[in-house]
Amino acid sequence: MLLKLIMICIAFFPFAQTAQVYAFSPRDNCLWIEYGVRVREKDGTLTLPLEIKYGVFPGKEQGARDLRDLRVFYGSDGEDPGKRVYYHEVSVEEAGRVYRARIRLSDRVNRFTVRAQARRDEYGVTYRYCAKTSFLLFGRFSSGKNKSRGILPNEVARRLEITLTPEFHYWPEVGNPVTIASVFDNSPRPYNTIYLFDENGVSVELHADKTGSCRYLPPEDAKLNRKGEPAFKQTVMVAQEESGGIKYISSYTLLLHRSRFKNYRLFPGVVVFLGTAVGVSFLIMSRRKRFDLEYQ
Amino acid sequence: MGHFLPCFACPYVGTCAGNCYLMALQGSQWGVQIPFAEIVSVWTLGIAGMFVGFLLLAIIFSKLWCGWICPFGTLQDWISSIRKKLGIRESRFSWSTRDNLKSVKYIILAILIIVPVFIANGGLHPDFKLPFCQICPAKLLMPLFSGTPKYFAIDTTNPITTVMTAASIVVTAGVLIGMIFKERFFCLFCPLLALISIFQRIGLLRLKKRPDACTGCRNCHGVCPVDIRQVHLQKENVFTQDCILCLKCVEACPQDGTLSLRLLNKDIFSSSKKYIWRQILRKCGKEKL
Repeated sequence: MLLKLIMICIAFFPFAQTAQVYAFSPRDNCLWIEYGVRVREKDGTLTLPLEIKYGVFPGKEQGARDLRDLRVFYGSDGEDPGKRVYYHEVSVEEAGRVYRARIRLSDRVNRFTVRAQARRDEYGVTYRYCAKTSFLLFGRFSSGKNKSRGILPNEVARRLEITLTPEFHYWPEVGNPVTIASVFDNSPRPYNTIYLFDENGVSVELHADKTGSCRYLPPEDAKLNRKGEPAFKQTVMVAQEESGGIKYISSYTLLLHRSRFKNYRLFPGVVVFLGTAVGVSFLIMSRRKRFDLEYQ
Repeated sequence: MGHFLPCFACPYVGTCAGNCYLMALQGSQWGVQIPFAEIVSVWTLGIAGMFVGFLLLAIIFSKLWCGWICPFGTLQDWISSIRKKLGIRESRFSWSTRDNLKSVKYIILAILIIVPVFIANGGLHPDFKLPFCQICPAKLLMPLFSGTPKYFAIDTTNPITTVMTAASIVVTAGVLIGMIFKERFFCLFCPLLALISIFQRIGLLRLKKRPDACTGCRNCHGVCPVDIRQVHLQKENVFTQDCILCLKCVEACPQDGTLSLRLLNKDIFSSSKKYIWRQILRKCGKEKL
């Protein structure tokens, strides 16, 4: 009887271990980046305020007391085009339940990437949080040589990362598909789950295929369409991975703009054009007279 | 070639080597769509630089941009030559209508400056940005030459974009038909011509007339594509604000030196009796005088 009991316990032990493997759910906390309003300074530079939040997107940020080693970096692919991206660290200030970082930029057209990282230890388990976002900047001036640039710290280098394919040419838009992949230690993660949350509270669960990528078509947003072309809505994608006893939770903040061309209706436009052309031609033909040259 | 060309080199043509200054003027990067708080800042250096570039080109070449370089003017000339070959009679405005139309381009110029200012400072919806470019007929017609018909579409994103794109299509259709029946029809309303005209007094080029040599034949007025009467009626200063410096009047004048294009007070192109006779004989099929 005792032997049977021991055998049952041994049989259940692997399942018990599996049950302890971390399974991220949309209600779990993550670290993400939110954009503030870009400010054009009088000296020609741009200041981009960012808020680094911890909690559940959108709107359920918690205080980050349990977070350690929060660091924020930004890098540009313009400094050495085609080569390594160098990152600059920026200082972070605590403001209530959020952390604020201000990035001052003076570069011309470049793609900037911002990464934030932090860790948390709880009940012997280490959580590594990483938040990332990327944007294009149409600046005016060259930044020149920046002596303080460097590379990302090692612990961030071995990281879980969400990537977009292709990297958007202008900016990501609703109505245009985006291919998303989670990459861990430079290897794509097949069959991984990526959660997507937008600021309207809509959440979507995406499942990667065997190549580690999944396709997402951001739906049209009537509220976004009514705003101007530069307006955007913030969408956060979250993925998780566990390795070596460390749980990695990474997010990517995507700024989705309204579609520039998806709402173009060519046929009605051509009809209006032809109709106007016929109408104006008729008007001219019926009303024009032969004018003699007149003098005052 | 920059964003300060004084002609309709349309930025919506993807392969364009240089862009029309009107887009820069209305925009937020090099134009008037700038918050008042940023007027005194480094940002205005770019705006000033772009304006200086435009001004230099406008002073040096004056309205030669309009008469000889502008792609949209060239399109109008092509359409006019097709009209002539088809034997379609040109329509002409009455004098009163022509005089009333003179101020339209200045009104358009004022609107395209005021609207971006209100977008940046008055809370006007950002979809009114680049107001003239949104309705400009060049935006629809010139990209056709690079195989892009998409601007004939109505943008149904929101009511503002729907109205603006529909308006641009209506304006384009009206202007295109106008161009068929009237030579250089769009030049009568062109805000870039209005802008260059403001600075033509400080330009290097002048169109001058010697009134004592004029015989009153009215050839100059007859060939003028923009129906300028002053070239015939006025005694000396015939370089009016509507003139596009196409120099057809100089070509058509049968008297030596009556009309001339002057650069820094030196004649560089003058009317010539010999030239007229050569043109007549060439048309009659004879090469020699």
